[in-house]
Amino acid sequence: MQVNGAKAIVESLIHLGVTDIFGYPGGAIMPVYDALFNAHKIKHILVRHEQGAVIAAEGYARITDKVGVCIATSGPGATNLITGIADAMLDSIPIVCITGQVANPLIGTDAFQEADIIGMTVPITKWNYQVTKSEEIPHIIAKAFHVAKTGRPGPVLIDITKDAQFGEFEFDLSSIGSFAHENPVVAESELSQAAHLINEAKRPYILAGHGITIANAEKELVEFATKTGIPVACTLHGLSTIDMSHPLYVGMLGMHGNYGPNVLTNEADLIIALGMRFDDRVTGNLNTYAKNAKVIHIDIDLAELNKNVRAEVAIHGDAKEVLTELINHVNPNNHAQWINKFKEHYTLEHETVMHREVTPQPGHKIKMAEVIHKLSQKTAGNAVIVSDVGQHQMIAARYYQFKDPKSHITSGGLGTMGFALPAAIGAKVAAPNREVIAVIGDGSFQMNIQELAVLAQEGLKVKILILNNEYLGMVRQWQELFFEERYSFTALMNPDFIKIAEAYSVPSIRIDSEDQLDKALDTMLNADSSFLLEVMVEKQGKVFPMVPAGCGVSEIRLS
Amino acid sequence: MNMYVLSIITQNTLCVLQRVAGMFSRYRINIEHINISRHTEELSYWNVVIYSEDERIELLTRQLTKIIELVEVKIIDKVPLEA
Ligand SMILES: Cc1ncc(C[n+]2csc(CCOP(=O)(O)OP(=O)(O)O)c2C)c(N)n1
Ligand SMILES: [Mg+2]
Repeated sequence: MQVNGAKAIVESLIHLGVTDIFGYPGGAIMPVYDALFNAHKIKHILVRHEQGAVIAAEGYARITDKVGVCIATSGPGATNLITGIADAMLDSIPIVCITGQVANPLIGTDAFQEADIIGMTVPITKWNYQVTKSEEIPHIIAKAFHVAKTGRPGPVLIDITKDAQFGEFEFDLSSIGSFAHENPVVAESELSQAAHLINEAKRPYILAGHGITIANAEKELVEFATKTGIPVACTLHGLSTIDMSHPLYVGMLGMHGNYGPNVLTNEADLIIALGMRFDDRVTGNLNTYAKNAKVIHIDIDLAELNKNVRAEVAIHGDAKEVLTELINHVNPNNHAQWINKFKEHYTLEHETVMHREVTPQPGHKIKMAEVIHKLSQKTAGNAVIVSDVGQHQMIAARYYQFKDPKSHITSGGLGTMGFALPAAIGAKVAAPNREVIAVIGDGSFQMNIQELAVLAQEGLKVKILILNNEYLGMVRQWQELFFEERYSFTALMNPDFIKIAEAYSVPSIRIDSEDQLDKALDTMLNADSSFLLEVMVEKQGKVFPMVPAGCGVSEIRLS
Repeated sequence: MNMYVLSIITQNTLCVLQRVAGMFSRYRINIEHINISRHTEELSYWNVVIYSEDERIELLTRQLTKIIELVEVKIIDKVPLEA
């Protein structure tokens, strides 16, 4: 079949199973848009800013096992992708970004809308490549998907010159070639060493991370924990790998994690780190981190092993495969006394923080935690929560009772404000039957607010919950605690979000008193359309517990 | 502080120099000497001399291994330097 490069791109995507892509047109990608015009097997979702496209592709990938795809034009279209690509790199999200580029003879001439996007994205892509010959397209696109998805996933960018999109060639699916991938083989000796440590440990502790989700190892995690009786804490990205009502689940790790899970890290005698990378937001000061524990570290990325924390047993492998093996090597056990310690710490945290945060106080403004707590009850933990970045993000992570896998989507590594709306759009496109709720701060909302237009145009029933404190709340909290209350440029005079929603044809309501909360949440959840609920919350709330930057996990503050 | 000599094999492609060199600068390791030559049409052989602490070089070589176009990286010499 004689086709041009643009048609070859679209045919290759279809061949690779792509059904949805997010994008924004422009001169250097127009041949591809022309090829998409009649490509009925691919649905294209038109965003309003290329950052929306790349983050929507991330949301799509985060809720499924598929690779997210976005396309953009050269120059400003391509540079607008950069934040999302960096986000996908830090959070290990498989996406493929296809950008148009000026024609090959114009490269290097400062041509109109020429930007060296390959050079710019080298440090934030797992792989990138510039295509200048049409014939290369089928193989390179297939390789992009392979690289994005295998091993530790990550973003790939393919830059395709306009002349390569126009060039005709004989397209043959067999020219795609095939790519083999095998996960690292785990040595029996490593498994038995690990099992020995696990069987001997008195206070063993499982730290579950994003790797569990990526490897689809949720079932194995629960089976392993249940057999060994070992308590499980989750990182921010580990949330929703285990039903939070599971008796072995003890809470979230990290800066705004739960009290017990942080403090007891330093009492554990064995840490079993599963698909997590000891990020500084999890460990705090490394010099005082887990000093009483031996460490078993299991990760698909060799470069993560012994990077931040030395491991007695470092297993390079896929979490699902390693756990499947390990389950057969360990002895049934239980650690009731040790788990009781977590319960005692939980009681303390509940009494000093959580109870106060979720209980309405007459005459006071609604608190963020009350809203999330109610939302959690009303949805029975069955919704997908897509959170933005700030206090509301930490509150959503802390107070929503996650039940099913892949129900917590957030920008963890990069902390990209503006993430939630486009990510929720991508998630809803990928999983139309799941209840997708974006929890967004008033500051973050205004970073990608233009994507509201997509909801109406695509008829997407995304629910938006704005927790409006009229502040860049998380920064304000740090100013209060660490900068002597000098609130330098963190107060926001916001636009009327209800009028904005109306202009974008998104039904909406705003509430600011306690007695409206139940009904408002019901209205949002029952809406058979997109819906925006704006809750005016306490302005100067603070998220606690908190491990102050630079402190050890034992120095976690309850107030 | 040690002097290290690294031997690297990569695919012979356009962007690979930037990717590999970028990894060194990201770890704030200065390249003291570098030699890259075409071995076959597909492969380039590199010889790189750097000064570094032990831990960083281990991390660096593991990160280098993740570069898709990189075939192999080996530390072929280590010379302790006077403080
Ligand atoms: C793009 C970007 N710019 C700046 C920051 C720094 N930052 C982190 S949280 C935050 C405040 C977020 O405000 P809002 O969305 O209103 O959430 P709140 O903390 O008030 O819940 C800021 C400015 C960031 N994470 N991302
Ligand atoms: Mg705010």
